[in-house]
Amino acid sequence: MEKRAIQMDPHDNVATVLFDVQIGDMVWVYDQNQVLVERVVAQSPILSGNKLALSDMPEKSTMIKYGENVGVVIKPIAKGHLVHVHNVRSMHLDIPDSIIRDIISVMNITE
Amino acid sequence: MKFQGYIRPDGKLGIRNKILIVALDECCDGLAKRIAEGHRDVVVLTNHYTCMLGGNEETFYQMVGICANPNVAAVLVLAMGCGSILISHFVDHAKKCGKPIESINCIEVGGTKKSIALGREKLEKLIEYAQQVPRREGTAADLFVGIKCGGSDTSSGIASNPSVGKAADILYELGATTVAGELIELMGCEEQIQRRAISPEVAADIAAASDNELKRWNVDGAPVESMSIGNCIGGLTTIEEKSFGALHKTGSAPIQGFLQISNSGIDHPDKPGFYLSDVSHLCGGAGTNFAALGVQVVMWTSGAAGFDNELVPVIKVSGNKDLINDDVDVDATGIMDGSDSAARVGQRIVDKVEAVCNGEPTATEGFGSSFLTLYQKDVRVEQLLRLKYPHCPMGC
Repeated sequence: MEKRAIQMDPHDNVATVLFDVQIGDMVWVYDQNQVLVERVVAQSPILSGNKLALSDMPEKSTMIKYGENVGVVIKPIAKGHLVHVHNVRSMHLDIPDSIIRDIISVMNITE
Repeated sequence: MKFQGYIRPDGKLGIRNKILIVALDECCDGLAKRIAEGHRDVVVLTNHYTCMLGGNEETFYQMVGICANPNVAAVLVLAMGCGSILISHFVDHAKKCGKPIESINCIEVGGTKKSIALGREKLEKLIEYAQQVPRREGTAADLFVGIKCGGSDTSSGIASNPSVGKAADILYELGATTVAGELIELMGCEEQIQRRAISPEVAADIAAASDNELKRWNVDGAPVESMSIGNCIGGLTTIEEKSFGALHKTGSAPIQGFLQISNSGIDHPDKPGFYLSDVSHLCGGAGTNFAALGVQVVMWTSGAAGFDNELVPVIKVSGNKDLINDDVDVDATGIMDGSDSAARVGQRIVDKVEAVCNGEPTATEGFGSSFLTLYQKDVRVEQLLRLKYPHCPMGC
């Protein structure tokens, strides 16, 4: 079965996966009108509801979702990798470091 | 979009025909409930903040606004009689909407038992009146629709909120008026909100109100939880991502104005379109805020919370396939596996709005409603935080 992800806006550099994804899985990225945008090979395990990078995201660039800047990249992210609290932070109000560590541990993020 | 509405003296159309019993003080709560006992479509609204007017003006104005809500046919006002919220003062305000307003001062009438008997008589008359209220066909232009979200989960930003956003846009195109609040949930979206405002004045009003909300909920030593671990494990990475997910439920229409709910009064929309407001992020209080603003029906997103309001029916939309149950009115879960789209679900939500306006009960209507929480801002906190209000609608 197709592992789908949804890109909320054409300008977004991330897509949200709708199924659990393993390294090497082909992810089918659709837009909000169910039109296929592209297929990306996952380079990280990504749990359902989490985000996949649709292009390389250099440090200090922004995460774009809903067509808006919704975070700043703190560690370079390559296309196909998981985008989450280990490599992106808020531009306004950060989650405390201790909580970030807990999340990384609970979600088993190793990159 | 067409519906059969109840014609109110001020020309507005109700989608329900309720008799409202207002207990102006919490002492009359039991009395109000005894009078209402056994009657369908009779709703009790109790001011639990006590009988003092000073400091409780926001509650006073909300109660007045609720009397004027188009879904209310007529009102019975009760007060014990010893408080400083005088029945006469309240009725002077409430009667401006033109509806029949009966009142009972319990002490003057001779006590609780006599008040119950008299209350039941007066209620019968109000019910007779309500049954004769004429109806006419209404369109989207007669509708004022509230928009709110419950708890955020992975599906809210992907499925339920975008669908409600599409519904909001359809309603806007049809000429309806819509309103959202929960400013605290929109932290991080300030620029986009400013861009949607129709004028710099509206943008400034929203900025001031948002700033106030931030100050209220981020007091040193008593911070608000803006993001939970659960949110993050579910896939939300930043507060901006969460907030934009929430903002999506409001669609893309320009923001006509900011409707304030405060101790100087309650704003009402002066033209159709989309508005932001002081409607609380606290659910029960939000339902009552919507009622006070004059909203007739609410679109609501959540995993499965069976939230409803006795005066303003709540249409529930969920995109969470693990939680969704039969309390939910519109199923958006198909978006999460690619079998459905926000545009299609949005149309189904609008169809449901039309059906509910025509009398179809929501999934929980009539047997599962939230308490009519009269939430107000504490004037002492407002003073201590030195909050400035965007404008004073009643002059201050």
